Amino acid sequence: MPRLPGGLTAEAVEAAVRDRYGQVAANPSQDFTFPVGREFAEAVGYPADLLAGLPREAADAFAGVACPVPHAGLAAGETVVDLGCGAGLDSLFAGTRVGPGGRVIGIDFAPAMIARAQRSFTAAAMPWVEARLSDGHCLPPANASADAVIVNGIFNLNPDKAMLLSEAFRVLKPGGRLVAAEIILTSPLPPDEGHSLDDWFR
Amino acid sequence: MVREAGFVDVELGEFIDVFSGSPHESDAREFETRGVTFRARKPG
Ligand SMILES: C[S@@+](CC[C@H](N)C(=O)[O-])C[C@H]1O[C@@H](n2cnc3c(N)ncnc32)[C@H](O)[C@@H]1O
Repeated sequence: MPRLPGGLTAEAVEAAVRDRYGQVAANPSQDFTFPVGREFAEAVGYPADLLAGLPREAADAFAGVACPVPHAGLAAGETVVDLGCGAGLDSLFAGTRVGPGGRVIGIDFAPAMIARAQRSFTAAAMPWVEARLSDGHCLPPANASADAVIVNGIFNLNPDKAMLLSEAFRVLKPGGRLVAAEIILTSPLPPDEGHSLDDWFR
Repeated sequence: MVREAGFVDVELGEFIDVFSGSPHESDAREFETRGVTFRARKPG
């Protein structure tokens, strides 16, 4: 586990992330310090016709970074894990690609988010897409059970990125694909940034 | 870090200015952040 600045602990960061994204799930139209919602999803590349065909519940609380699903090369019948699925937009997008003979497991550790994802999946009538409440550091799927793992915007929120990667690696079948969208810094943060919990959401 | 986890064929996609044109501009823009998509494969 990397050392965190300002005496922050991994537990405090995790609790704050769970709480903040619980707020996104409960009230996505509230003002956040990061973009949320359907218009933002369109701006980062989700096709408007796809969004129009999926429950609003998913797109309205979209809080990802980009649109990773088209880069995953998904085929009918495949099994996909959406790690940090939020309200489930990528799970549903993947669900349209793998179809009823496939399986998508959306995983999130914020109870309000996973409840929202479950409502989206039910409204979309895609029983092959399921929502699981779990921490990404200890994923429910068995070893070598997934063809693809999709991750949209969760590495930057987690101090222990190596553990998330090693769990993604474990659940993938040999030859399986990891496809992730992430925000990265192109230059180091100023020394006085990153010391408070609020800095984790900027 | 992705390679250290055991992945191979790590490919970076295009860098995108995630927050430009979005309805809410994130504070992240202030700190030279970019969005990026990447792919990697488990050997086998
Ligand atoms: C930036 S949001 C992106 C949500 C979703 N991927 C999307 O594109 O809308 C990050 C999500 O990951 C979840 N998350 C963050 N860290 C997690 C972890 N360690 N385990 C499970 N979920 C996590 C949060 O609760 C939140 O819903």
